[in-house]
Order: sequence, then C-alpha cells, then structure tokens
Amino acid sequence: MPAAISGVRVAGPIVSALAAAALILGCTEHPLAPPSESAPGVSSETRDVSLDVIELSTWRDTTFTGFSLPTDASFTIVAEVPTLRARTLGRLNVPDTVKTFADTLRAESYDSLLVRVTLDATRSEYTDFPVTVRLVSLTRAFSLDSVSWTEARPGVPWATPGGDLGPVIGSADIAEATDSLVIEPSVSADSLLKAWRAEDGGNGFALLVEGPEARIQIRAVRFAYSATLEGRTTPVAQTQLVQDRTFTTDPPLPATGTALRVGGLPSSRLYLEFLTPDTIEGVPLAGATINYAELVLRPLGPPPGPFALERTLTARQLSLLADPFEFGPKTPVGAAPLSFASLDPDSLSAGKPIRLNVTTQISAAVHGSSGRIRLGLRPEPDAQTLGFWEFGSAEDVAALRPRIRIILTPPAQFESPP
Amino acid sequence: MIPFPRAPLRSILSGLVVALTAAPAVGQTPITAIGLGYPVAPADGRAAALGGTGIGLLGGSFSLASPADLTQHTTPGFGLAFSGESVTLRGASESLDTGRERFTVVRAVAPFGDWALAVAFGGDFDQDWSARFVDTLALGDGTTVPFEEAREHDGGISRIDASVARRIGPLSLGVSAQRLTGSLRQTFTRRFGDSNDGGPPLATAGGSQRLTYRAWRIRAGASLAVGDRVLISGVASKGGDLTIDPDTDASVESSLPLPTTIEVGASVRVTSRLLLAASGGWADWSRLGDVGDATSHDVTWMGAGLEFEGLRILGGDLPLRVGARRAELPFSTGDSALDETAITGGFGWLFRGGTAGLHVGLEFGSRGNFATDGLEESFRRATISFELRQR
Repeated sequence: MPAAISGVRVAGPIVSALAAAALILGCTEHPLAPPSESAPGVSSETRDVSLDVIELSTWRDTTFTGFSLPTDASFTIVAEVPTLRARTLGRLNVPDTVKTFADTLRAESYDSLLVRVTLDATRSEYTDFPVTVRLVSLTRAFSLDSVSWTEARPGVPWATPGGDLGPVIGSADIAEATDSLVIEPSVSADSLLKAWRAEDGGNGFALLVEGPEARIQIRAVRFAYSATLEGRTTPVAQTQLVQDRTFTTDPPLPATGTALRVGGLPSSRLYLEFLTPDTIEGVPLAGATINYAELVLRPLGPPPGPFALERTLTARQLSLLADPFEFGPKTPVGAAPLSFASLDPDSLSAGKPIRLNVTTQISAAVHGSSGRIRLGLRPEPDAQTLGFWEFGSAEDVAALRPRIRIILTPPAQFESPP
Repeated sequence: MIPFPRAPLRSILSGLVVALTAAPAVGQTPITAIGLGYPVAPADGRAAALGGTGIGLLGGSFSLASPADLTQHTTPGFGLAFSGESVTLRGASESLDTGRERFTVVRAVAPFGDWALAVAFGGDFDQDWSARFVDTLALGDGTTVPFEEAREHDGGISRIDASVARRIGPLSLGVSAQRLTGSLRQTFTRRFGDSNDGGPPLATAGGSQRLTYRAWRIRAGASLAVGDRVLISGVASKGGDLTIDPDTDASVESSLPLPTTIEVGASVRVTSRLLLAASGGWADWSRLGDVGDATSHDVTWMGAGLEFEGLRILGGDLPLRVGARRAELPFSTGDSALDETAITGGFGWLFRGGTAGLHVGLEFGSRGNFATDGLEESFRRATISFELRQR
C-alpha cells in the first residue's frame, strides 16, 4: 500500500506536467525554397480569362445624355473654323436697384460700360491675328437650356442660323494670344442697360468671332459699369458676371447611337448592367479568388471634327444604386467613386481600350452578394469639354464589343487524405 | 505592394494561362509530404541512441514501446523527449535544406506493486513541411506579374496512450489503448507584386483545408525477464480505421484501415557494464492502398545498439551508447518502400542517485534513394530526453 500512496502523491504533478507538455507539443518547420516547377503541395493555377459581353444574356449598356448642358459648363465657345461655328449667347439681367453701404436705391443712369471677357488662352486656337470679337444684340429671345444653332427655342427657328443678330454693341480685336479682352460698347450704356433692366435681359446678346479662323474658349463675361443712383451724384461702380450664358455650335453635337459615349456637351455618361456569369471560358467563378477583374471598353474612331477630345479627359467610375434602365427619376449613384479612368485622345485614336476595374464587384458577386453589377462612367467633372469619345457597345462587331476580363485563382483542390 | 525579385528566365511561365500545378514533383518532395507523412518514433534519447530499440530494454524506457515493459519501472517517473533534425533533400540539380523539431514522447509512469500504469502523449506521423518560391505570372496580354508563393502543411497525427501492465513472476503482460488524434492544415498563398511591364495589380490568392484525424488502436504485449540480465519483449497492435474529416464541403469524410503491427525486442546485460539491445518489427501498411498520390507498403524495421556503463562525470553515471537501425517507410511515390538507415549514438547522464536523467541520442542517416526512388533525404537528428523518478 505504501507504493500506492506514493503513486497517488506524485500523480497530480505528473498529470500537470503532462498537460503542460501536451500544450506545447508540436513541430516547427523550416521552409524549403524549391524551384516553382518542382515545389510540392497543392496549389491552384491563376487563370486569365475573358468574355465577350454578347455571351451574357444579362448585359445591358446605354448612353445617357443631358446631365450637364452648355449652360452648366464652366466655359463657352466662339468659333469660326471650317469644322465648327460657335457663338456664345447670354443675357444680362440688370438689377432694378443697387445696394450700397447705406441703403438700396434704384439706378437713375448708367455709364462707363466695359465688357471684360476672360479667355482660356491654352484652349484657344488662332490661325492669324487680329481676330475680332463682336458683341451683338439679339433680336429674338432664346431659351437658355434648349437654344441651338438653328432654333431659338424648340419650334422657333432663328431667322438666320446662329442667331438673329441686331445692332452691334461693341467689338474688340485680339492681336495676340491672350487671356483677357475688353470690349468697349459703341452704344449708349445707359439705354442698353436700362433696356435690359426693363426686360430682364431682353433678347440677350451674342458673342461671335470674325476675321481669321479662330476658336476661342471663354471662361467668363463680365459687364463693368457705373450706376448713378436716385438722389445721388457720385456713380457707383458695378461688375456683373453673366450667369445666364450658353453657346451654340454648327454642326450640333452628334446624336448618340448605339455606341457608348463619355463627355461632350450636353454631357454623356455610359451606363451598363450585367449579372456575373457562373463560368468564363469554362472556368467556374464560384469560390474562386478574383485576383483582378476589369471591363474592357474598346474605343471607336475619333468623333467628327470639333467633337473629338482634344486633351485627356478624366472620367469617374460610378456604382449605380438602382436600375438605370428603369424609367423614372435619375438613377442614384454610389457616394464613393470606384476608380478613375483617363481618356487620352492619342491612345484612344490608336485603339487602346480603357479598362474599368471591377475587381471588388466581381469578387463580391462570386462570394455571395448580389451578382448584379451596375456601373456608370462619367466625365469628372461633367461639362468640362465639348469633346467626347465613344466606345463599342454590345451591338457592335466583336472587335469593338466590351469584354469582361477576369484573372482568377480557382479554389485549390486539396486532397483528403493528403 | 512589395516588389519581388525577378525570377530567373527559365522559370518565367508563358502562355495564355499559367499553370501552377498541384502535383508533387519527385525529387523536391519532403518525406513528410508523402502519404500520411513521416512515421515518428515515440522514443526517448536512450532508445534513439541504441538504434531505436525502445522495446525490451532493461532498466525501463519512457519510449512508447511495449506496455509490458512498464514493469521495468520500479518507481514513479516522468519523461519528456524532444527531437530536432536537419534534413537535406537531394534534387536533380540542387539540394534543399530544411529542418524540423518535435516532441516525440511525453510519458508518466506509476508502478503499484506488481502493477504499473502509464499515460503518455507521443508522435505518430509528422506531416509538417513548407515551401516558398518566387516566380512570374505571364498574363494573356503579354504582361507579367511577379509573385511569391507559399505552400504549407502544418500538423500530423499524435497518440494519447494509456497503458497498464502486470508482473507475474518473470513474465509481464501489458495492454494499452491509444487514441490517435491530430489535424493537418494545408494552405497555399500566392502574393503578387508590382508588374514591371504594365500588368494589372493582382489580389493575393490562397486557399486552405483542415483535416482532422481520429482512430483507436489497441496494443498488447508481453515480456520475459530472465534473471536480471536478459529481457525479451514483444508487442502486437491492431488499429481501427483512421477517420479523416475535412472541413470543406467539397471533400467528404474518409477512412483508412490502420495496420497490424508486431514488434519484438530484447536486451542482454553482457557484462556488468555492457548492455546489448536489439529490436525489430513488421507492419502491414499496404492494406491502406493508395493514400493520395502515395503508395503504401508493408514495412519491416530493425535496430541494435550497445550501451557501456562505467564512466562518471559530475557525480553522475555517464553511459555511452552506439547503434544502428534500418527501417522501411510505409509511404512512397513508387512501387517499393523507401529505406531509412542511420547510425546512432549518444550518452546519458544519470544524477541525483539515478532519480534524474538526461539522455542524448544522435542519428546520422538517409532515407530514400535518388537513383531508384527519385527521392532522397539525408538527416542529422538529435533527440534529447529528460526524466525524473521518485527517490
């Protein structure tokens, strides 16, 4: 029995030591560094597969135009070149009263009118100098949002395409590339501004270019004048930015067709929607790691004449939060931009596609969330250029149709037993 | 992203699609990657130094050998053995170095008169290995993306052992129940770097699977002590089915029949200072058939060693040991079993009147044959065990 008692006495510590040892029981391993072709173990090949969207019955694409109008652009254009005629139209709504430090009074007379035109020197083109810019009264009122080269408003054509021009208000010559121009009106400032004040801007005015071929981009038009207020003798200097302005072009912006367009004015966005396929090139997507996924949009040829992008346009990829093909209010877009794409006219002319990264969306679809992917691509910001570019849609030939490219690693097929 | 060193041109993969295949390539596959892995001998430092002869060893052993040998322990004790080995894989063009460490056995023994009880935790199969390499992925558009890939197997099979033995005169009988348990986590990770030629940024790929193992095994042994100079011992074991349960829906539970094992050993105290030990065994592993890409084989093993006592250092005995062993391994990628041979040696240091002991076993050997098996490893292994006995 002493042996048994002795055994019981040591059993506790022994079991404790055994448990502690079991906890740390295990192996460590120093990794091998074999050549890849002879590395042991299970892995999975990384595949680079792509799909013509025509193979997707759920694919839908379209262009939506009109999110931004020339009215919304940060610029206007005047041009007289073989490929483009353009005029800037505007209306100056002269206020009835002028606010001073002391009070607000009606202007009794106007004087010292100057029209200051801010030009975008880097985006203006001249063939020779001097170029004359004229400020001309219009004899027919126009609709700011729907005026065109041929119509003052829908159903009301101009008597003369480009605008029914009246008396010249003033003109100035551009003798060299510059970023500002001052037009000194040749008419009475008082009568002109009072007429505009009485008629809320009246028919408005047009800015046009004459002389050697030129295309001038205008950033802003300001009217600077002095107003003599009722009961006062000292004139008050006033500067008014023309906010009601737009421009018309001949030819007009080409209508959209089946191609997918980004840019232009009115501004166009491309929208598309598809369901993530189950397989691509026979490779199942379920459970796979999506290493990378992109939508490849192939550019069409340059748009005609003045409407081809002149410089790189930044476009923003959008997630759409509702069905863009459903008629109704504007489709809401996700708050965060997915990514940006640069539309470089040189590479687009060379046929180099743009690629929209959709890794996150495809990966989410593969791993259980909704497989329906809705995307948009819009200029960032909208209305930044007259130019646009178009891309092939599902209705184009195979070489121009969008493709979905996915680089994926299917799940490794581990063996059991190993 | 982290830039990776460019892979040599010969390893740049070409074509529309890059295949990084799963098939283990002969010549660079560690033995732990074949079948159920490398069989771990649950031996202490003394047994390892004596050619792996843990069975029928006079003086008792903390190795998980025959349960009947428990009666060799006259006082309660605890032993723990740790093993580390350096391995060189021979390849066609270059050799690869790796290494691993493991606890081989942890055991507590408690004798009660003619009875003895023991509980233990020991290794059974080691499946650990890992490999890392750098290469380049060639995409369909001609661009390339460098990547670093890691493939790992982490785990193995262990045994929890409960044994009881009884001495009946010179004869001892023992039985043990062993619960085989363990898991294996298989993973691969492919981490891509920045492309130098316009390739897209690629997200990391990977995958994993975890297998869990479970089975029962019964062992029964007998030993015969002839005087105090000779001990002969034998043990037979029979396993149930090893259940392999994957954690993925894609794989289903499977099972493998464990083999019947017969093992015998003996030791003879030739003189008061010299002990000769030898053991051998057989197991019908071939009943498992193919295990993954591996083939299983019936195996035999044998080993022998000499122990010389008579030296003392720092107040303790310093037995010296030498031995050799040869074993066949149960899994191979070919038609025949892989051979493992080793010369062994070591020493012990028994101090505090023999109640504490430190044993070191050294093994130098190789397994497989590159010319015939396409697979060869050389190894250097040290097993260090520590034991405590009640005074």
